[in-house]
Amino acid sequence: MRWGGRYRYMIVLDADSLMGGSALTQLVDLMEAHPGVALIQSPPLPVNHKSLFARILQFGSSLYSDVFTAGSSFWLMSDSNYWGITRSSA
Amino acid sequence: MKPFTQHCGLPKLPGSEPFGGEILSHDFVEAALLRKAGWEVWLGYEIKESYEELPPTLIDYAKRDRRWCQGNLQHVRMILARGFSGLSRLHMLMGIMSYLSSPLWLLFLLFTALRLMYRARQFQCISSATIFFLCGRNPIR
Repeated sequence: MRWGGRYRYMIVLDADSLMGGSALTQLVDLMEAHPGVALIQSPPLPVNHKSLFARILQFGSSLYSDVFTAGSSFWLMSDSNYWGITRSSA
Repeated sequence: MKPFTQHCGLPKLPGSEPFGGEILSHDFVEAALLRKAGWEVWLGYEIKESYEELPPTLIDYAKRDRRWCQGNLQHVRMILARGFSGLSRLHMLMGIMSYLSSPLWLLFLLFTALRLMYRARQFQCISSATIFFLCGRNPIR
């Protein structure tokens, strides 16, 4: 935060977050196109683990994540929530 | 960066843990503060290449859940704070209820079980009274 003021945006990643280049550019594009937006939460999809427990959760998320985030965004619009990770902030 | 640095400085909660101290689930509060200041908060549902790794075992998952539970229940102290939008309060309420609904459900089960036992005893009284009428004696007592 001390040096953050020198930058236009920041993307917050947790130790277990991963992000592809297209997600980064999409976030910046959205921010540039909508100057009233202070924060965009990207929907993080759980990946990479091989234990049965994690596989079950990853499978579940891969089924409902898209529908959940699209529906949530439809109803909440500019009143969405921040889940702490992999988002960008103006 | 400006909206975030301007509006999302978070205080330490007065009092001791579990309800006081650092705000653990800071994200909900930061979103609420941005909304309060008039900024928009979006969910970028069409962004595809965003991933996270889950806790790999049930125990690790439970540890994270314990932390989230404490953080979400801290929101009880902020949900009625001045100036938040109704939907910010709804986000907090849903976070709180995701941990409060289980104990409430347990209470519901206990109370309905108690009620059922009470009613069963009532029926027993009625049936013994009926038997008394029909047979002239009370076989139960």
